Amino acid sequence: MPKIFRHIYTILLVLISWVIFAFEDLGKIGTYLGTMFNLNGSIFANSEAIYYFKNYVIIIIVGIICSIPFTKLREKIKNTEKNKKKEIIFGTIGSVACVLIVIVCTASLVNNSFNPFLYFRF
Amino acid sequence: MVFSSVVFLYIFLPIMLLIYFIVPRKFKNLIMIIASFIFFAWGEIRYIPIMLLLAVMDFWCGNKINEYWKDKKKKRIYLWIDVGVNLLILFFFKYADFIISSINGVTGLNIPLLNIPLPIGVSFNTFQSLSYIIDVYRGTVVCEKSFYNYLTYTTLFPQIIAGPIVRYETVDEELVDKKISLDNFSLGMRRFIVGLGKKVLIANNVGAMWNVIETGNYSEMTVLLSWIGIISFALQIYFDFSGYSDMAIGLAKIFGMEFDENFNYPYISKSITEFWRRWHITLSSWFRDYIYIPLGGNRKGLPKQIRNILIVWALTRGMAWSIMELCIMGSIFWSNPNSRKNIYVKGIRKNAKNI
Repeated sequence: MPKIFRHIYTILLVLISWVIFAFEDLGKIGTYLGTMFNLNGSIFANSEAIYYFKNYVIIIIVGIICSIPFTKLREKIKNTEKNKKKEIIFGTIGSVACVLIVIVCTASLVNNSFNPFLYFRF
Repeated sequence: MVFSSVVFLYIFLPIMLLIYFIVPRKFKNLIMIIASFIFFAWGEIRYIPIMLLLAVMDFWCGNKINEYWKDKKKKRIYLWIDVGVNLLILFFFKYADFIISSINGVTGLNIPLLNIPLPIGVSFNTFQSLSYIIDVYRGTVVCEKSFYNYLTYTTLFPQIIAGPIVRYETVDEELVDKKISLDNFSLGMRRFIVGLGKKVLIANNVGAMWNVIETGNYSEMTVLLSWIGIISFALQIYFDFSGYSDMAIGLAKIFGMEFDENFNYPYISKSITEFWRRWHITLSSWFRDYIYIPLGGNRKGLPKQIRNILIVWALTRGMAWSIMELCIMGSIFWSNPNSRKNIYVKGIRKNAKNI
């Protein structure tokens, strides 16, 4: 199988496993999978679905991008470490990014936004 | 306590780090132990006495195995005492109510349920204890001679909630001599912040979307919404889990210890086997090395292999976990377990040198 098909097939299997993992109830699992693959006559989208899509599409894309290692790009950045000037630039970008992450995270935590704890089952 | 909270980030961690770096080297483990107990007691004080007793028992059994190194029978007795008690406690927390309700169902009795919530981290703590005692028995590590160091190992707070599972051999040298340096501090800090960002900025935000689905706060489920929902869940669980692991690995690095990596971009996998090699690596390799291979793995025919899978299945409760474990087992079945075969030979030599 070409790489891209193997990849799609794996992601599909993983997503189906997550449905099973998330619901733990055969009835609900069946309904949900049925909707996903359009087997039980659900409509494709309504205004509610489009509302959620608009609200979450950006964070989902950010998440997907952050799930990819970009090995070649990383190596390129690493190789520039011999170059003093570029090393300083990348180092500074990294540090500034870290400070920004801390500030935004703190703001989010202080605001008591959604912050679930998932490890009660372990 | 959780990492992604104001109390941890702005009170617990700064105070702990300050004291940790001020005190002389020989007291650093003590600070780690105290910090771990405070961290743990924050939400889970009931489990601390059990944890202490288990630490004493693991330590004692480990030393006994070392003492009777040439006496195979006695050695095995101490192994089974330790493994037995550890599993008993895990099973008690996981199965007590399940067994009581089954008895009630069959006999019509009305024994009240205990309703004990599973103490946070009990599974990882047990897995870690078991890896220690089994490694000592196999001779892959030399038993810890100092209880002080062993207690530090078994309570290590960064990994206690969600992993990575830290094997004794990974940190044995660092329990004595920590690699504290400015480089490790800044690398660890960066790693921690990346993990925090993964958890708070990505996992929590996509988690809010999944929460809508999970709680049924929508009028009609549509195809589009079901896909947005499950993709959100997939991202939430990955970034939450790997963010937690990053924070643990980063903290350990700040303290001068090196943990094993736990996630390696699982969503780029091109097969399920590959996925399980990249997802919660320390957990799947734990099952492979301590359960699957010792029981004969896939080399002794299908009936035994099914038995082995069922044993792992019993270790975990709930359909969800069972399925995850079955997937792990399945992937191990298709992968080649011989890669760690020489660990026994190498380990026995290592121990022989130290007796």
